[in-house]
Amino acid sequence: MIFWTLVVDGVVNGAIYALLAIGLVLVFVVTRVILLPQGVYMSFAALTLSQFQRGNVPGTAGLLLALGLAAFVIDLLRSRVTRAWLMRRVASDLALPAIMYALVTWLVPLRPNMAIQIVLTLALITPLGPYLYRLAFQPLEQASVLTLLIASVGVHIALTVLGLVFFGPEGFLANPLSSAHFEAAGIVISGQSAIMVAVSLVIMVLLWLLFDRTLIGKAMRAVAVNRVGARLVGIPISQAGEITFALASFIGAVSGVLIAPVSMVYYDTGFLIGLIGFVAAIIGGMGSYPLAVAGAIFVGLLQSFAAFWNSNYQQVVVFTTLIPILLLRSLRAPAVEEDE
Amino acid sequence: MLGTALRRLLLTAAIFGAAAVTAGAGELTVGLNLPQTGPGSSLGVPMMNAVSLMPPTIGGLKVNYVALDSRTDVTQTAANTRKLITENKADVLIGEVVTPTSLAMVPIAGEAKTPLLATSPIKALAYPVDDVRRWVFKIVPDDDTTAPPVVKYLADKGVKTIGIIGYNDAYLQVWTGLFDQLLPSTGMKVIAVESFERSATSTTPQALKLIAAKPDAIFVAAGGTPAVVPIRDLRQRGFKGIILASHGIGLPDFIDRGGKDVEGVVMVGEPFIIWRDLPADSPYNKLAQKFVPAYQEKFKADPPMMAAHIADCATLLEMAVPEALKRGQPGTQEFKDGLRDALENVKGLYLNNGLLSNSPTNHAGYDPGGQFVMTVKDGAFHLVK
Amino acid sequence: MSAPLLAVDRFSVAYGKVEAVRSVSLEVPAGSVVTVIGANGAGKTTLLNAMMGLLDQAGAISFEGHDLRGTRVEDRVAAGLVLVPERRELFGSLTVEDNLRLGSFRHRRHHQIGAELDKVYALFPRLRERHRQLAGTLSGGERQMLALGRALMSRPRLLMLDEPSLGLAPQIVRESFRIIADLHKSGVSILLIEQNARAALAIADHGYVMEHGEITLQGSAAELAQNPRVVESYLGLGSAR
Ligand SMILES: Nc1ncnc2c1ncn2[C@@H]1O[C@H](COP(=O)(O)OP(=O)(O)OP(=O)(O)O)[C@@H](O)[C@H]1O
Ligand SMILES: [Mg+2]
Repeated sequence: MIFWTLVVDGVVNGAIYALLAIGLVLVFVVTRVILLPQGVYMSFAALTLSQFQRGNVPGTAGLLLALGLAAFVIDLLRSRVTRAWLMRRVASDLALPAIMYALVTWLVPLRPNMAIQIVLTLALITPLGPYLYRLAFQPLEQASVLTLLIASVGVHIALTVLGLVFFGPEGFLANPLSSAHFEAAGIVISGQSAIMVAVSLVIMVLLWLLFDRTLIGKAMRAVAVNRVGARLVGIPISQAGEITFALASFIGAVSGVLIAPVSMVYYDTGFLIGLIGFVAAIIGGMGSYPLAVAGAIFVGLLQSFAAFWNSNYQQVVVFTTLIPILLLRSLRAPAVEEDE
Repeated sequence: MLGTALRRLLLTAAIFGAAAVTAGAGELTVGLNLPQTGPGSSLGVPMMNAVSLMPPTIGGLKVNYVALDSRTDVTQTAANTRKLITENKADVLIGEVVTPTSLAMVPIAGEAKTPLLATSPIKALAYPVDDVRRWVFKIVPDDDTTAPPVVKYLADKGVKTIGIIGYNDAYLQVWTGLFDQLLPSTGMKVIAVESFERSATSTTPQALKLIAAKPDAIFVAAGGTPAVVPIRDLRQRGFKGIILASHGIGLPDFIDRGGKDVEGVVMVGEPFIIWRDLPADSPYNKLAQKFVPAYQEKFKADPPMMAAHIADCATLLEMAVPEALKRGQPGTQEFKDGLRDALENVKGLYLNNGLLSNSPTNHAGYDPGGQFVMTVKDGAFHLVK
Repeated sequence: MSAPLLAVDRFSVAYGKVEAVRSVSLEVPAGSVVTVIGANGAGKTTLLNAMMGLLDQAGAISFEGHDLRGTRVEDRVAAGLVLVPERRELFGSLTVEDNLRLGSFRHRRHHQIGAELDKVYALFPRLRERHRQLAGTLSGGERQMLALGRALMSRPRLLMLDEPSLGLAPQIVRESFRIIADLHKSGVSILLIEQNARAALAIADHGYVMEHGEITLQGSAAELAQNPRVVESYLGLGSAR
């Protein structure tokens, strides 16, 4: 019975790591950015939801306004301004954040129900991804993986500092998505855990449908496998990057909403959990979704069993198991190809 | 946001104002180094609030309070501490609240032979009392002080076996050490020790392991919000026994985050947390009456424990300054020596934090009898009578 | 004389400090086949990539009278300027059919894509047979077909071919030249780069000779085929193959 409870615990945690790993792989293959802030989206979403539940308007609402404006100005300076362009960017960079900000400041003090809180959280965090892409990564589209990584570190530090300013150093815990509990073969499974696994699965299936069944999804894969080829058939690389970043921040936001009620989330929690997602992504060679998911579940289970076996050595067990695997992967995986 | 910005502005103004008027003759200079920004700010800001309520004169001396922002940063703290000593000629220092920064003040104060009232819980601030630490006095009781009442409480409840769960760091070692030391004479035994990471998404495995060992009581060696998760997991996995936690949970955040899950959790801690449950003639009740209403009036909020540390610093200075004046005037080393000796020889002084009697070997001499058993009931700590 | 379909004026491209293309001017009149011949490393590929917008360039370029300077690759593709690159740049981990469909990415909202796919399959029956195979597993000749097919899916008005016969068996080379000629007949203008100068000049209307990044000779294909310098440097080699 304890065995199965540990399995459930490991799988539930693994599901969160898997979401983070998928976001990382996704962004890496399409844009070659190792997106350290993937975990920050998670923290921001979790903390934003917690603040909503307290009737507070979190700093992320203002951040959205600021980033939208910055992205607009930067693009204004470097794009050819056409009417269509202006209309689109005014809508996406100025109107959308303004509407979200107004909506949040109006609705949140009224204490809306959980569903509305979650929708608001996702709508507030998801646009951060594309704005950050346009501000920090699109100008470096042709740069090397290393340069992109440095930019990523910079963005990560900036966001972490902002997280501290917005949410303070203390952790928050949100109300559970479901307070139901059910028993199966002697083990108690909380509704919350079931939702976490189910939502992760749904996201994975949706992503699979997107990438396997739609031309847009295939275009994003095309960018990932051959950027020059993608450009030559007229796929706009920057737009693909924007969409990818939006998907990643959406996935991050969902994982934040899922984890907010179970873990004490601090402004920097996302980094530590994101690191595990990163390890899982590397197990998948930074390119394979199924392997990344398998890696994530494996790490989740490993952590659970290691904690039960001897919690003082949990980290030691986890890392001594992972290091050989990572080494093996790095020997067998082909070196990341630099195109052009 | 606006509130913080405004506060920072006012603080800066205060600092510049203070720097302009460097200690005049016959004026006591108190140098404070507290985090107003960075991770420690949620603790440091209420403390800074309390500074504005400190008495304008102590022992007949006009007091010049110089407060600097440590930014929760070790380098900044070191710079601030030096500045307070050399430029502002502080007679006594007060600060910090976070572990690394509070430790950073110690060697600088010790070297400059300036008394430091240390407002952080870490034992190593004033222990062992050596050449450096003879200048440091703790305003917060050590776990050594709260451990005996914890053990007594467990014994009174008929507990035979104890499980411990804590943060995977030195703090857990502190408590396993204290139990090793205190339990042998009581017949109680620690039968399981589990630890968890701050970043842990779940502590379910640890909870399962502890419960499987069937202890009568579980002690949580973690403070503040991190203590919530293991307590919740223990309850969720069906642990029905006593749950105790270290006095680090005595913060409003703990109850706020924990909600229903932490109802009934017991801790031994400072009288200030439950002063309302103490009789009106209790010295602790009287101390709180002097401080709490004024704070509420001015800041429209209940003062947290940290703010009371500042009030305790004032109480200590009111005791020590008249003694020091017998040795010299403020601004002289004789005066600082006098302060130090008075602080080291304090006996039976009631503070919001407990009952203090220091000695040359103990600069955190809180009496275990000055600590109280309390429990979370209806979303607040209450005295267990 | 009507304006040319494509006009390149004093075009220069540099890799760092090295100028690989220097002040090249050339024109492709609508409905014609133009070829650029030159030795290895002359700068032909560089020229095409820059015209496509893949490389930064100095100088002017216009397509159907529209200035293309500062436009992005995807805008040029949308305008009908399509390149089959020297390295083919296929999507190896996608299927043959996905590669072809992505060729029509710019026109994805249109309805005749199925019909266009059928046309390409009719042109290259091998691709239809292998439509679910991953592009990375195709043979060299099949890849060449796929690259051409993908380019056709982009609805080119000017198709730029960078050495379409590279590494192919003589029989397939002949086949591909036949297809190029057919395309031309169906109204697509063509800019062709070839090592096989003889074959190129045979189907071209006009030719340019490129040496060390510069155009050193130009004229009608017939004239060039007679030019002793061309015969010596390029046609001799061509016949030796
Ligand atoms: N990315 C690059 N960086 C530096 N130099 C380059 C780069 N690409 C090409 N070159 C150089 O530019 C010159 C022109 O190359 P290009 O590929 O355009 O020649 P080409 O005419 O297409 O030759 P071939 O017939 O062999 O394909 C060559 O000297 C080549 O080495
Ligand atoms: Mg070439």
